[in-house]
Amino acid sequence: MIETFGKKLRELRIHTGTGLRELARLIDKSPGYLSDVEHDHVPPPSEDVILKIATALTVDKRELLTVARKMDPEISSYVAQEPDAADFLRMAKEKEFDRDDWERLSKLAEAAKLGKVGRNKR
Amino acid sequence: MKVPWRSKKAISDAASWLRVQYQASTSLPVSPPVPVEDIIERGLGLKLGFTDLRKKLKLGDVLGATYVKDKSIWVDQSLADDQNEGRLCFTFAHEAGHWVLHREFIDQACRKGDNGAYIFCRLSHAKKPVEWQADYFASCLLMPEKEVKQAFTEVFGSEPLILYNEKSCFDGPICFDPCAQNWPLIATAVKAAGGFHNVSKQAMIIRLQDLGLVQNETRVRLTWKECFALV
Repeated sequence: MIETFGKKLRELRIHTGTGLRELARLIDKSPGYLSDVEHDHVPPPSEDVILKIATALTVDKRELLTVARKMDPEISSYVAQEPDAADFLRMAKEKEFDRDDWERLSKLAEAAKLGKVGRNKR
Repeated sequence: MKVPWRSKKAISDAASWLRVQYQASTSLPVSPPVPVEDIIERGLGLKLGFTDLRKKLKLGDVLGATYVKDKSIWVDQSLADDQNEGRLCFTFAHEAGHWVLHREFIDQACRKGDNGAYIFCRLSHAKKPVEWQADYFASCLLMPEKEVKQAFTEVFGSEPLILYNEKSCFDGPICFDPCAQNWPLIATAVKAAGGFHNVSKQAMIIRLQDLGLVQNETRVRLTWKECFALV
């Protein structure tokens, strides 16, 4: 079964023992709207609202952002400030990187970063 | 929809069973205010939602609906907007009552909707046996007998209050005498003593009368309408 944003949100909310109305109050939205989101009657909310939800429920924001197919505003801002990062992502898109490519690349990037740290220490 | 007759005790036992089951599954104590939303979601495992039921069902006085196949309870959006905690929580508890007491009958007898068999609750249907049973269940769930008696005793002592007079003999906010006109003050005092923050004064006075803690010997009924008429 496809995991939707609404299902994920409801699962996390119930797991943390937070009421629908309580969460609506914490993120400054109406219970009706939040109910619509949970039942996937409306599209997932904006990134800012998702971050507010994650904070209110004290859950990992990545879980919610991923299922909503939204980008963490911190990452958007990072990419905007680092042109090389934007170029790299563009290249990855053109070359149609798949999950395996990203996994290998993550390992390589981690090793590169570790190597850099090691050199700095010496 | 026709449902079999059930005694008050049977309905009260069903509400107690639900509280005990919730307590066992969540390890959370169930003391007033009874967490009815969590009981529905975690205790009964049902989905809870708000929507414009009046528009959806094309009924002007609908408050809530219970969908059996979809395992969900829906409450009209207007109740959440009103910020009337007592009315909203009573509607939640009422719908939980339908689920516990009537879900097998709903499946058999109700009209078919988009999400399968469901029951919808209208103000104009309040006197039907199926609605009375759900109301009584809600009352027992939100105001357990033991806790209500404890709170009442704390405020008024162990003897029931017998209302012989319609109007108050005193004038002023410091003290009040038990009379029909003062029923909101009696209900408020018990609510505050027992922490029943999610029930209305009207629901509390009905429960107090049901438990024999308030006995109304006057001709007027203990309702807002008749209370204002006495002023």
